[in-house]
Amino acid sequence: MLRSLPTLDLTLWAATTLVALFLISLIFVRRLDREFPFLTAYIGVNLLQTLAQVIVYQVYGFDSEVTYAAVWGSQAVVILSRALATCEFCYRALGCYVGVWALATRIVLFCGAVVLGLAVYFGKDGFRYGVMTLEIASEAFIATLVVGTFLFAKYYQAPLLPSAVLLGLGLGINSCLKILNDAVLSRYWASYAGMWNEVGMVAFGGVLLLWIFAMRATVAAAVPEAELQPVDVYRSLAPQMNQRLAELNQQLVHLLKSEQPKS
Amino acid sequence: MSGAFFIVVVVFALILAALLLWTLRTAHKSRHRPAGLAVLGNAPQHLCNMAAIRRSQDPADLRYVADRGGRDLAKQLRHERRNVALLYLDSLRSDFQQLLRIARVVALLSPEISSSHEYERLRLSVLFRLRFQLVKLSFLFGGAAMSQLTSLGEMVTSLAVRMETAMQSLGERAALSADLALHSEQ
Repeated sequence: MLRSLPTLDLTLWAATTLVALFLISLIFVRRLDREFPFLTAYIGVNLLQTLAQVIVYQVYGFDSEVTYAAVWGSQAVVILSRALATCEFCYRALGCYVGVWALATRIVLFCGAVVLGLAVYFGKDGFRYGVMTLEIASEAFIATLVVGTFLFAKYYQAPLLPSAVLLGLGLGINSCLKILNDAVLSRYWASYAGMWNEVGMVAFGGVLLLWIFAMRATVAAAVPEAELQPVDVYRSLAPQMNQRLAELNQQLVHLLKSEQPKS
Repeated sequence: MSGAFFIVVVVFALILAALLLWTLRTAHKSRHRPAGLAVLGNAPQHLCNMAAIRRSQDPADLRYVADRGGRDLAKQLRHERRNVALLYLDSLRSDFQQLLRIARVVALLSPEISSSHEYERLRLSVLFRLRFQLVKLSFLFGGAAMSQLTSLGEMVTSLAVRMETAMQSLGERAALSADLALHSEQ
């Protein structure tokens, strides 16, 4: 049954599977599975999905309802495990800064939930594209988490390890490309259906390469935790700073209203 | 998928991708910046020039030059004084940004931060940047008073001094409590 697939599809499928196998081997060889448990689980789930797809395609064919349900059902598990890997990235990026982490999780999760809700609500388009809408919404949620975390890290100038940067970049790019790929497919089904799979696999292959670099950049030794200041420092300085900033803004308003004395 | 939703989804994905690359590009640029509390070592550098700037902007000088040197010389002096004021304005902004950076480092290294304080500072700093550009434009067209500029400088100075004093006293308090804890253990 698989032989009926185009050679390009089969080649790309084999290539991405091999790269994923290499990545998971690298994780286990370097003993990084304890440091990245959810990423490891995600790669594992992805490989299991590939195996399950091969079996389902062989047994039920491409057009069976069982195949449809099995493939999209497994895709839900894959997306869920990627969402967990994304949370892992967010924690690696900001987790050691307790205060910022507490604020970031609330804001980023809220934004992600809003994006997810809006995408599902406005994207409901009948049963045919229902799964596609759900996938777009889930990917938008994941991408929002990643970009939000990077924005927080940038705003607070939190130093990020190269492994975290590459991991986040891979997760973000993957989700953005999936959103675009799915949106184009939903809109231009007839002309794009043949390319959708290839584009998705090439993008995923590139992301897997980024994660291989991320794992290579990871040092197995424990990273020293940030030395936090007493909470009094923030409690005292933050209101003062804001008060002064408000006064400065007021001063700027006066400056704008003032006239240059005639000389 | 409707056309409108398709456009929204595509634009949203492109904006997210652009934001992602932008944050990474600027993170790469700022990799060599001093990290953590080392930023406190680079306290505002331009505020010490404020007294000299204030003297240089004395209106009496301009009147004196206009009386003795004529209109052309007075015009040239006014132009140069405006350039000095604009340079000073820029230096005030960089000092202010340094103070904001310190505030962010304090927040980053605090075990607890308040969303209302952070949101308020973000809002105020955005407003500050906008108004600052307006003031700069106003100076360019000769509409703002020099005395107001110096008072703006004084405010930034007092902010810097206040931050430094607060940090120092809190540091002493932290050292004292550590000392007390050590004695009580003994």
